Amino acid sequence: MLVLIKKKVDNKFIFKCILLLFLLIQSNFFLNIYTLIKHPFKDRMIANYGYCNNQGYGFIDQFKTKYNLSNNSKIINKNDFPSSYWFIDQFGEIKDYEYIIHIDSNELISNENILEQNFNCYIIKND
Amino acid sequence: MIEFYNVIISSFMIFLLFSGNLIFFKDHNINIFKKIIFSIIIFLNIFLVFSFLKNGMIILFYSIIVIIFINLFNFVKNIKNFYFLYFILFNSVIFAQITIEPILGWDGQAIWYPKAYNYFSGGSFDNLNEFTRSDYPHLGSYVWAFFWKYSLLKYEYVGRYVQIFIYLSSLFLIISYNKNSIIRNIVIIYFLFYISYDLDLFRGYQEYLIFSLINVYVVLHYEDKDQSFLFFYTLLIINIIIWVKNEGIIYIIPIIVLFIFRQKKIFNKINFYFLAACLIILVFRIYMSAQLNGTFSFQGNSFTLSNTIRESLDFSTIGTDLLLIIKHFIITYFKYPAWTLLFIFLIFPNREVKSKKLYKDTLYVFVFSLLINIFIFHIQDSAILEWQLSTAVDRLNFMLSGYFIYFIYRNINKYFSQS
Repeated sequence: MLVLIKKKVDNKFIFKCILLLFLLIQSNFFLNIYTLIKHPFKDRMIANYGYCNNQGYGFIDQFKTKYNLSNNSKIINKNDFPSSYWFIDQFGEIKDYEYIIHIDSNELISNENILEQNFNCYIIKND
Repeated sequence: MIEFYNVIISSFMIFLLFSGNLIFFKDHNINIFKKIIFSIIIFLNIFLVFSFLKNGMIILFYSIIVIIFINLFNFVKNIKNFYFLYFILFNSVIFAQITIEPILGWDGQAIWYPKAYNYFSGGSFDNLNEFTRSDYPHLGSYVWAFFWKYSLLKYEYVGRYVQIFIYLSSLFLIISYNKNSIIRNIVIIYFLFYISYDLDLFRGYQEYLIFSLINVYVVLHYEDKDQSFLFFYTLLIINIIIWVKNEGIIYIIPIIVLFIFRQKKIFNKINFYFLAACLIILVFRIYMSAQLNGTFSFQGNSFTLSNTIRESLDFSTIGTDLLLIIKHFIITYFKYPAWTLLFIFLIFPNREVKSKKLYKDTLYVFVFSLLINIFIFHIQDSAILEWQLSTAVDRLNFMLSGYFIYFIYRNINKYFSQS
């Protein structure tokens, strides 16, 4: 039995396994799989695009369906980031928008039409 | 957990589609990576054709399902090959990195994602003019949208896996032609990977597609002996590159010149047919872009004929422009180690490599890359040149480094053999 195992598990096989393991461990593959299972897609998107900071993915996604923000909104983010319109499947500014979304606003906004406010992000109904 | 299964199924869809195609090859002794590359080239052209058809994606999907089932048995057979197994795992490792940080870069969000979304949401080629930068080609976005749409959970990052697959296939193709030991080949793969890997460029950008396809051509040019075979694949590669990015139209020039000068006599029938075919491909590209946008423009208004002539003859700013351009080029050459190694091997080439045609060709292509990029930036408006250089030159140089990966490999391999 031992002879059989020794024949199959020769040096070349062991070396190939080492090469494979080196690739998997060095690239944090197992950690990445754990992260993928533990943290759902939305959490990972918020970690990268921000909730109410950066591009405000978390805030926009939270109310996207409730107010049907797609092709209906103007997003104002004065920070230097790409436009967040694609989060709501809108690819540019439109003239007749129903909602104004402020992301990471520097000033305190007080408006009777504020529908939602989290930290310094707002959804305001356009008059 | 379901997202984990989504990743596995989507990955296997790509592996099965492109790996171990029996339907294109009669000769089962062709090396696996050559088969994979040829499958990629043929399928990308098929994707291009279907991208012009309304409802093209659904027809393509059903055809691909059939092909995947045909390939299943051969894929399982290929797993016994260590290099193929390693290749699959290498892909999975990089797929995992994209999955963990499913973010898009600036151009990815602003330019390429909208095109992909167009196809994802059932749009067609004609709808592309409703999105920003409709003068940019769409093939990369179409392929992205296809694999995004037909994944389990429809997350966009899955569509970007195919770029990683094509990139790694082009690297594994390089070592597939040699008879080195496994250790040496794996070390060379790692080396080539580390000098050419930039995770940011998988964030919705298209540069890796052009880099990989140029790399594939160069490998086939020097390693493949079948002339008629190379004729068709060169045309197919050119056809893909010009539909990935506008810069592809310029960056295929070395491919055309390399092919022409590959013949013993330059003025012969093969070269005539080749140039005629290239012209037809280019005319089709320009025609379809004009159909979409009303007119053909190369990168918006920056490169109109009148603008190009006026700016290229304006020597008042050439001094300051050159200084800025060279500064940013030097930054790029250190950012991407492939360029640093290229300089080292151009100055200190291996003796055997220096005596071959490869060295001269590489030198000429390098001079071309330098001059063409200097020209591209010289004809830009000097007021915004610094900004343009800081945002674009590294990616342009990255695409061109596809011409030099094989040259770097040959030098490394020879130094290994001699030591």
